[in-house]
Amino acid sequence: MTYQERHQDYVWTLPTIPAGQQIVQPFQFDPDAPFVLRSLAARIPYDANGTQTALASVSLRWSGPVQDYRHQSVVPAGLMLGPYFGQYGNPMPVYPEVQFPASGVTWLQVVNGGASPLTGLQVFMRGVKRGRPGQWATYTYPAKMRTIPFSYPFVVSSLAVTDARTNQVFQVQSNGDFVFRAGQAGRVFAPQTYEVFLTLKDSNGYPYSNAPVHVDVLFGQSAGRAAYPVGSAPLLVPPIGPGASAPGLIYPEIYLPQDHILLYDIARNDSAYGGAQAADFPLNFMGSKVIPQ
Amino acid sequence: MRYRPQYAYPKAPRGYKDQDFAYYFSSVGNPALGQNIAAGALITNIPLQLDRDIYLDEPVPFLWRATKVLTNQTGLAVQFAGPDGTLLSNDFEAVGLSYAPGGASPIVGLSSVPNERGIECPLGAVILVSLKNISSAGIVSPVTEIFLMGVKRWKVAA
Repeated sequence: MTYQERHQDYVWTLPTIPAGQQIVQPFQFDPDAPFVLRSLAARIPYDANGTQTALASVSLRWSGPVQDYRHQSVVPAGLMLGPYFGQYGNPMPVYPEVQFPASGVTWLQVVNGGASPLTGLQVFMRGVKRGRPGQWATYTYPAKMRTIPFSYPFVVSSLAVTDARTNQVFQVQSNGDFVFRAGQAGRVFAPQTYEVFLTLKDSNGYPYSNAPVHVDVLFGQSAGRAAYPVGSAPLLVPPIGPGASAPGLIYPEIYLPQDHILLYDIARNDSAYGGAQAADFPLNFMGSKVIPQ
Repeated sequence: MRYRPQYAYPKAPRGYKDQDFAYYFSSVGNPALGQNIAAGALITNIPLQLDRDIYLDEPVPFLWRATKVLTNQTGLAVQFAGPDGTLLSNDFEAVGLSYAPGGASPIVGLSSVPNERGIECPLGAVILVSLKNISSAGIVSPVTEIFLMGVKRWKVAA
């Protein structure tokens, strides 16, 4: 192999778009390595009803590295991104992949066809950074080993309504390596949480995203609280199909030797939601345990 | 490791054939799964007994490749142990974050959660499942169903 791939999420937060208006805006990728786009998602902060109704009024299109748009006009987000708008760990695939050079630029054209301003709209581009061999410290399987399916469920204790914790430590047990392949996150019973974001980082503190990623986009969960708008006079439907059987994937997988750590930042901002209260926030890192033989 | 699709398992070795098989355990047939659980309490090591098939003088193993847990209790968490007693997680996993497909209540036939590369369960193996109530409210009269899916590997008559 002549290159090294690394999981990467790019999060583009758009400025407020007034009703009936559009914006056309460039976004620049990181300078350290080319980015290979393989899937897309979009979200907007939950409204007071715990839905994302405003997404029904979003139409958009995006471009390749030379401002080559991949649609002749903007497309309703629900048509482009499918059920639950690529959230719940199930982003809409982009195939064939699109490679952007280091410091490359994508252009987004977004139209707000609704009657209210769109605030906090985010577009997510998921794929890999394609770097030089050895560009990022990584580990891999021992020559002789066996694997068993294994999960690391854990909670972030007493996450306050407004909270931000950096460099939290996830540590692998000392009885085997762990291959981190997928995740699930979110409270499955009251009190609910709304706006919770994660930034995964390797043990050197180098992040797997350019900005915090909402847990519903990064991982998802089975007992999803979100209802997603379908149609112009939207019918709100719960996510059907994602969850633990189709969790948010980490690709390429992240190999963590025994006792090694993965860092993460977690942030919550639920101050706008009545009744929000501090809560333990559960995460589940899924993959395999690797036992050298 | 390069990507490979889930369920892309190798064929049975020469002289054997794999037959789809699913074990179903519910709180009806296994009352231990239907016990009330106080907030924060747990019930450990409920045995899920697998079959004891012998065919052509050879034991028939079960290759456990996927799991699905359905429950009407959001506060239920589980922890499985494989046939050799090896725990499959470092702690209890909320069912909604580990073994349940989304939108389960009105939908049947939803996907299961793969046991990536599968676990070989020998003749008469016992899978242990422990339950925990991770919510602050009691679990009362739960209805819980556990599916263990995979294949049985049968010897083929010469």
